[in-house]
This record gives sequence, C-alpha cells and structure tokens, in this order.
Amino acid sequence: MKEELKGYTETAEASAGVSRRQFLNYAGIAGAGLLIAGCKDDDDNGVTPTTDDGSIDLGSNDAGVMNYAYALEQLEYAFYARACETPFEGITRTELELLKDIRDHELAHREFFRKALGANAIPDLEIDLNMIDFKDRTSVLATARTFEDLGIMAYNGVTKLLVTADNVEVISKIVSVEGRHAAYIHELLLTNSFASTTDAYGLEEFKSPDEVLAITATYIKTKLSAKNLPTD
Amino acid sequence: MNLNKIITILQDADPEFHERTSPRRHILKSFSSKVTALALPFALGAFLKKAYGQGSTAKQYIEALVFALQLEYLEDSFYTKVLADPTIFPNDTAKAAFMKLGDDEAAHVKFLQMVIDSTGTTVMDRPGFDFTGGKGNNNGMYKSAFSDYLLLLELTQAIEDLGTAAYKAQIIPSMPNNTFLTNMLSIHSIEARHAARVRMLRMEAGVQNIKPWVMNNSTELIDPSLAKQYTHENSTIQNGIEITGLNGEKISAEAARSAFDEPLRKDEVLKLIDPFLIP
Repeated sequence: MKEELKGYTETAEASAGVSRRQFLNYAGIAGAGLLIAGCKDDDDNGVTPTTDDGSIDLGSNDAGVMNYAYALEQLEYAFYARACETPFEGITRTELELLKDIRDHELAHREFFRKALGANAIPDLEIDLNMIDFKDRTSVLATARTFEDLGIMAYNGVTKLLVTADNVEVISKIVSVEGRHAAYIHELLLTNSFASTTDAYGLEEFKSPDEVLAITATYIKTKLSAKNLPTD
Repeated sequence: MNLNKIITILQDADPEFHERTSPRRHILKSFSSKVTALALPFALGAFLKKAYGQGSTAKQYIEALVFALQLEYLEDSFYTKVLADPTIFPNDTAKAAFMKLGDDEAAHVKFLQMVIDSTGTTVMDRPGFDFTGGKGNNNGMYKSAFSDYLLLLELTQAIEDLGTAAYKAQIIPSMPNNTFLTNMLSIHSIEARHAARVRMLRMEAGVQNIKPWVMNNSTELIDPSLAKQYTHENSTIQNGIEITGLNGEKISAEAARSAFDEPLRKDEVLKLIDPFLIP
C-alpha cells in the first residue's frame, strides 16, 4: 500500500503539462536509434563498474533496469539449461519438450538484453545451482515455480522505472510469456494453482529490485548492486 | 463500432442484472471484509482525478479503464454463462479451473468499477453479450460452444489470449503514472496465466499442436476470424533486434516467436470482439 502510493509523487509534475517521464520518453525515441544508446551518454559510470564493496553496479536509467532484467534472465536460463541437460527422474516426453521451450525462451530473453544493452551490459554472472537436486521432480519444479513467480513480480515492479516506451513494451511482451511459464509449472506441482498468486482484486503482486535480489542472492554468486537504479 | 457507441450500449444495460444472477456472489462479498485492500482502488481513482483533473491525460486513463472494464465484463459474463451449466465439463478439475478463471475476472470487474467510480466517472453498466458470436442473433459460429467442450475451450482460449494482448497494448499509455502502470501489469500477467491454463486444458483434452504459449500466427483456433488475433505473432524481431540465432546462440525462429507475446491495439480488439457484442 505504502509502495503503491509512492508511485504518485510524480503526478504533480505531470499535471503541469508534459511529465518528466513523457519528456524523456519522446527524447529517447527521437534521439536514439538504439534504445539503450540514449542512456549511454549520460551514464557516467561507464562499462560494468563495481561499487566499493566489490559488487557489480547494475547502473542507472533504463540501462540499469534492463541490466536487472538481464541478470534475472541469466539465472533463469542457467537453471533451465541444467534442468533440460539432466532431466528429473520420471519426466514425461511432453514435460521435457515444454521445459526445453521455456529454456529457449529464457535464452532468447537473455540474448535480447545482452544485445540491447551493448557496452552497458553487466558481465556473465556466476551462478550456483548446486543446492537443487536436479534428479528430484519436486526440487526442480518448486525452484522453477519460485523463479517464474519471482520473475513476474520483478518485471511488474520494475517496469514503472523505465522511461523509454519501446523498453516498456518489450518487457510487457516478456512478462506475459513468463506468466504462461509460471502457470504451466504451477500446474505440474498442484492442479489449478495456475493463478494462486492473485490478491483479493485478482491482481498479481510485484516486488522491488532489492526484495528480488535478496532472494536471488542464494543462486547468483556475483554480488549485484541496485543502488543506482531509478527509484520512481 | 466506435468506443462511444460501446459506452452507450454499456449504459443501456441493467446494472443489477449480473449481481442478482451471478452464481459467484461470494467473490463480491469478500471485498467488504478487506478494509485495507479496499482502499487501493479508491486511492488510485482519487489520485488520478486529483493529479490530472479534466485534462487529456485524465481522459487517456479513463479511456483505458473503460476499455479494460469492457473486456472484463465480457470475460466475466462469459464465465458466468459457462458455469451456469456445469454439465459441459468432462471432470471436476476442468470445472474448478473455470471457476478460478471466473473468480479472477469477477475480481477484475470489481476492481476496475471501483477505480472508475473513484475518478468521478460514471461506471458503465454491464452490457448483454452474444457468446455464439452472432451479434445478438444467438446463432453465430460458436453456437455449439456451450454444448461442445472442445469448442468451448477454443473460444475460451481466444478470449484469454485476446485479453492478454489487449492489456499489453494499454501498458504504454499507462506510463505517465506509476501506480496505474503497475496495476495494469498486475492484471495483465494474471490474464497470461489464464490463457496458459486454458491451453493446457486443451492439451489435456487431446488437442494436438497446442502449447501453453503462442507458437506463431498459424491457426490455433478453428474460426479464422478470431484467429486473426495472432496476426502479429510471427515476428522474430524485437526493438529492431533479430532474435533468431542472436549472438550466435541456438535460438530457433519458433523460440524467437514464442518468447515474446505481441500486443493488440484497441481498434484491433474491438473488431475481434464485435461478433460478441449486441448492437
């Protein structure tokens, strides 16, 4: 609730006419052939900087948000790649086929972000999945469910920080595919739990980068810093 | 059909018809016990009203809200009709899936009604629909959908995929307001979960070549007019970047297509749902 209301702080600005967001939006579209390029010039942190504690800075502006998404997609792909390479015991042909589909989707997402970010991209992350028993159906699927639900909440929570419309659009195209993945994985674990994540209004929840990164830190060994991400 | 005409149709309908007849009234009741959650749509509406007054941005949001409510009315009324005769379901699992789908859509209706109301805009009433796709003659191409389970699933998939794509196109217009944007996204991802579940029900019913995700623009639906909603799904390019084989990785064209869901503009959506509206 508190978080929700915070989202309105910029509306006073907006009421004066063209909002900062809209302005940047138009500027971004008009000024940059490549979407992230608009952020490159004013990102004084340069390429893959590290912070004082040695963690990797995701960066600022749209590029920072896209790096955050890129980090999550790196994790998801690494997980599904392993799950498909060493399938759990008793996996059916259809299950394996669809898990491979999901793996390929995550790869497509990861590579999209890598390419769009260009020189602003964070490096390949060190990912540790050894706590997952890849032979065990429940272990694999429960982890998949966590990652998919988390990915959706992450995207739903972070899209508001983007200023370039094309970036917002591509995130919206990705998040619904994650929603489809989530529903499928949910069903493999518990029948008709496909949308068990709804609140009283039938809405999906969202999480901030700090909340998400605290959870993914179990798996992403490279330390990530979201401190320069936009906050509204 | 333009939006004004639709709003007129919506306003002409009996406002209390649904609440009197809905078998899912418990959903509506459950809101009254959630005082804190209840404040959310009111707060959203009040802020939209206060911040944007009667300017063009306010109009933009209210149009998006009205459009969203129209879609939710359609979805919710559809599930009410389906669930009125549960003999169509081959098993309790399928029935329970439809009940969850209907419950979520009823919740979306309630949410949007409250937001619209709190902006000071008159909430349009629920219109009647012709789910046979016959524009009111009850004799359209989906007239067997309420006695033929496979056809019902096809129609349901069309509605849920359409809902997902329609919300997606409303995300960019929502950008100037963070809370509004986030709420639209929060409905959008649930619609995507719904669409995937319906597709799984089709898989479970033995339909071939169907997956929880949209593979391409090929006819996944028997009726070609509704299948037009997948017209943009063959794209392998996102923001000018070719996804197939990107960065030398093994990404097939099929993966490139199905890894991204495409939006449907409002005019496209209105055209697609036109057969279900009663003029």
